[in-house]
Amino acid sequence: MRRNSAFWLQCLLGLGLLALLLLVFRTTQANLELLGVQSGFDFLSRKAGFSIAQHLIPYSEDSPIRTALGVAILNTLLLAVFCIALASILGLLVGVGRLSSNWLVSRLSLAYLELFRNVPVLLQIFFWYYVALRALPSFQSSLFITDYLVLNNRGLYFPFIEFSGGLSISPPAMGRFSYEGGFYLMPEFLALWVGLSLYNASYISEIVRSGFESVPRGQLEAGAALGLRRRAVLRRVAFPQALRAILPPLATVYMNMFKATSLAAAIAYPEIVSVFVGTVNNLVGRPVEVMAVTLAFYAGVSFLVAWLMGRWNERVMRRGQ
Amino acid sequence: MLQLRRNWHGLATGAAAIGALLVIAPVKAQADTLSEVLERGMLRCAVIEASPGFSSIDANGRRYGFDIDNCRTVAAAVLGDADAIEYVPINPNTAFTTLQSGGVDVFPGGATWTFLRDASLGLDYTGVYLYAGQGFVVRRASGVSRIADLEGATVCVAQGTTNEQNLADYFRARRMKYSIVTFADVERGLNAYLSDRCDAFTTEIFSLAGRVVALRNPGEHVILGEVISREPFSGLVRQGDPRWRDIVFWAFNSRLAAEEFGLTAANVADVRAMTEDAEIRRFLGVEGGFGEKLGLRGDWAYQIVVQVGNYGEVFARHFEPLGLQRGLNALWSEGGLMIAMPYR
Amino acid sequence: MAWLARNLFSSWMNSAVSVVLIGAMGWLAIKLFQWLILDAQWAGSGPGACADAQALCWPFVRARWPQFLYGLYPAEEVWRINLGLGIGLLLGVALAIARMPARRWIAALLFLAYPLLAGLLFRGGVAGLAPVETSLWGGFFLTLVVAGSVFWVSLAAGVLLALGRQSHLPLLRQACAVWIEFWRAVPVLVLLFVVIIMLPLFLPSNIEIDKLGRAMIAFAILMSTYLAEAVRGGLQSLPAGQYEAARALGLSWAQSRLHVVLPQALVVALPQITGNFIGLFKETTVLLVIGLFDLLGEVQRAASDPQWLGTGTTATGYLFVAAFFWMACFSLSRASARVERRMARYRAGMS
Repeated sequence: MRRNSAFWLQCLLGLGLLALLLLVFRTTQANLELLGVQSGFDFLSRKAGFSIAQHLIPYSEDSPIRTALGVAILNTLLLAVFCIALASILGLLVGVGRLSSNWLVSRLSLAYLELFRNVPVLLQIFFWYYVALRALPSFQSSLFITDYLVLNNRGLYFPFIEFSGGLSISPPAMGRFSYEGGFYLMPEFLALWVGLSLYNASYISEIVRSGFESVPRGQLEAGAALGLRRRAVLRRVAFPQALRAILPPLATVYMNMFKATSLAAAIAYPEIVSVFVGTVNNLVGRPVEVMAVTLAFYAGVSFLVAWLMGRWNERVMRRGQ
Repeated sequence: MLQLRRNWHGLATGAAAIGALLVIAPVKAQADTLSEVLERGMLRCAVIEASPGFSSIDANGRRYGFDIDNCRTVAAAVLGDADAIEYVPINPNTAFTTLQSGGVDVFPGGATWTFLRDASLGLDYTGVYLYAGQGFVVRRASGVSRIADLEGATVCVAQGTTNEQNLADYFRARRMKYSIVTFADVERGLNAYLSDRCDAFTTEIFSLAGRVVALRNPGEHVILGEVISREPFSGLVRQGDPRWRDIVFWAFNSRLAAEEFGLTAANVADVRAMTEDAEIRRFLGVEGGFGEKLGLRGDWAYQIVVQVGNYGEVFARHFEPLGLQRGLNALWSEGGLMIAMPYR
Repeated sequence: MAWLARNLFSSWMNSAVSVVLIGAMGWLAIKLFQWLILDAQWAGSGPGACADAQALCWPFVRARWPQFLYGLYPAEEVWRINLGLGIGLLLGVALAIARMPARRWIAALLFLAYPLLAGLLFRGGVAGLAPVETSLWGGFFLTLVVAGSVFWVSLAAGVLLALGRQSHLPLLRQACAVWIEFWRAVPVLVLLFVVIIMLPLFLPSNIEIDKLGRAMIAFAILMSTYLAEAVRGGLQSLPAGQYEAARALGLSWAQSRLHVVLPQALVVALPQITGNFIGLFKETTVLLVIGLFDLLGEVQRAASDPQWLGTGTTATGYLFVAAFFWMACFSLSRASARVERRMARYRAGMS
């Protein structure tokens, strides 16, 4: 009896969901039809006609929108990778700092945590972009970190390998309006990089701290009793065990950081939301398709990262046993 | 914890749902914006905020500007009350999708009439109401005096606009190197230029002039004398409602006609009482029943002139304080491009 | 002295670190004092007051204060906001007092009647109140309205989703899981764009939701999936005995959930729910990207007024917003930690 009613309930539910989906499809179709909006993904091979400030693969206004999508995706991933690297290092330092026996170090680490965690990340990005980076000198009076590393309000310039007719290293050189040659990171990139990393490092530090605290004291004492040095105890005993507690929440923070790169749309870094939802959508006027591409990208990467972290997690768990 | 399987399902179902959305099966439906507006008693007019000359807010929170008067023109024609408007602020980089997706009856704010937009965006243009062009502002100290001097420069621009594409076309055609930084709207782009993120900022010349005049030190900047494009601005309505498009077109046209007829906000009441000119009588609804033919009241054009004024008055009100001349926007009889369609 | 020796100078290495840090902090403190107090421009009004575009400019915050608080909400109607928020604050404080009589009724009032009444009060158009379009809402007021109403809606939706994900009906379970996992993969900004642009296409043309409403829906979709996961954690932490006991008492499904399972699960999930609320509160700043002006949006808008333009003005505005958010989030997380500790003690005492 009970099983029977459950079966019918499910049928009803399934039908209801199906009907709802169908209704949404029909209204969307009707609305699009009424508007005379064309549909399809053929716009991807249309000529882009706009330029993108930072492209890691060859791109010009003549390239198809497909290539622009590739450029935007690479820009997103570049930012995400940079952020994950910097935030991990900072987070590890601050997290270990919390456990330091030096009162000053542990207090300062706590201050860092509370300061950066409780202020919206968008505000932090704005601060770096509109206040800190804008206060940098103009290119005529750039800061030289070394002879080849130049910082001014147009970005961070450094030498880069050039492939034109054999390998050569091209250092940045002064042009009429800015430095030319070499490679440079846009101020927009720098602001996002610093902002997102500092913010997320506070979360990572918490994860690191509680990860290390989760290691039973007895383990450390046992290590010491075996005659291991303090550093060896940390590396051989505490770290592998802490890692098991650290990895799952760390994956969540990494995912959040990746998702937060979309805040680039608020300043002018050309990642996928900015290029696709901003420029391309206005150019081709196909909101459904443009949104579908964007959503598919985020869902795809999330899935991939979850899968990779799952694999890594499994390995760590197994090694721990 | 991470659960791979669940993510799989999420992804697959999401993708399937999105895919299914794209299957188009024709369903007919008819929009009737006029009845919606009349029923609501309010016109929903999309505006881009904070654009001197076009759309500003005064200290009392009242909106004013050229675009705002365009909204008021349509409201006066349709509802008989130029202030029966609900303003819907929109961003330039999502403007078209906001229009497509509804909630807005008309967008009179600085959209350049282009082939691709007309052909593929699901929007209808309602007739040119302003001829502009795309210009550049640079720092006086930079020594740039022609666009050609901008070789190698960094240019700030608003995203998703024709300006972005014109810029690319122009520099590419002349094989000039440049880098571009795109911002969500004109305001942010200009601010970036002002704080030395860019060497030049580009947008259409009317809004450029308005913004430069409003700066703290306008003398430190120069607007270059050249323009790189034609930017005929037109109102926009959603596609699929021809009668509504006609109404908006004729509402805009009425201001031009009023100027040709010599009607102003001040004299139109007297003229209506006395005139013998048949076209003006038809125009003002004294005879001919023209308003009713559009589904409007007889005095629709009269209300526009009384409450908003003729084209010249509106132009003078918002652009003359910024030091802008009529130029192409003068009536044809005075050497401009503006011409009113006849009322017969 | 002994404290110093133990905590700062316990070893040679430690002493070196301490000395360097003290030096760096001293230098930083002097610089900050200079920037925040000495160099800052305090007096005057109007853009002319801040001659130095680089230094902080407090007259800017003073001049734009009403806009920061209420956005473009008409000045003569602002009393409605004050009244509405005041009532909410009063009810909240009353609810927080443990010995308050009729707490249950106050809770019902706050969570059921108040949101609707406040909404009517703010929107107007009834009982002789002039209608105020939501496009005029802004500032601190908008931040509170969005955070509050989104939290209110998504807590209910989150509980339903969590229960759905625990259901014995496989189809319902799967549907809820798919919904939750898909949206969790999407950034809030993208979801905002999706809902703002696509929702009207999904709905029949006679249903219209304004931009603020759509933004709230986007936030609520995301927030409810987060809260669903928090509540699910709470549900899973309950021993099976609780479910069995409820069934043994002859309670129906709904009764057992309402009276036995949910109260306990929500208490367990409270720290995570508070964490999610803090996250939502901070995330409302993203609204400025889609052209709604929350507190940060209003500051950004005011700072791009060409008359005020300057890094100093912008920095002052940001400092003001940062201080506001910092205080709000810090005290919320502290309060949550206190409740958590008290609960832990309570539970320890029980077992």
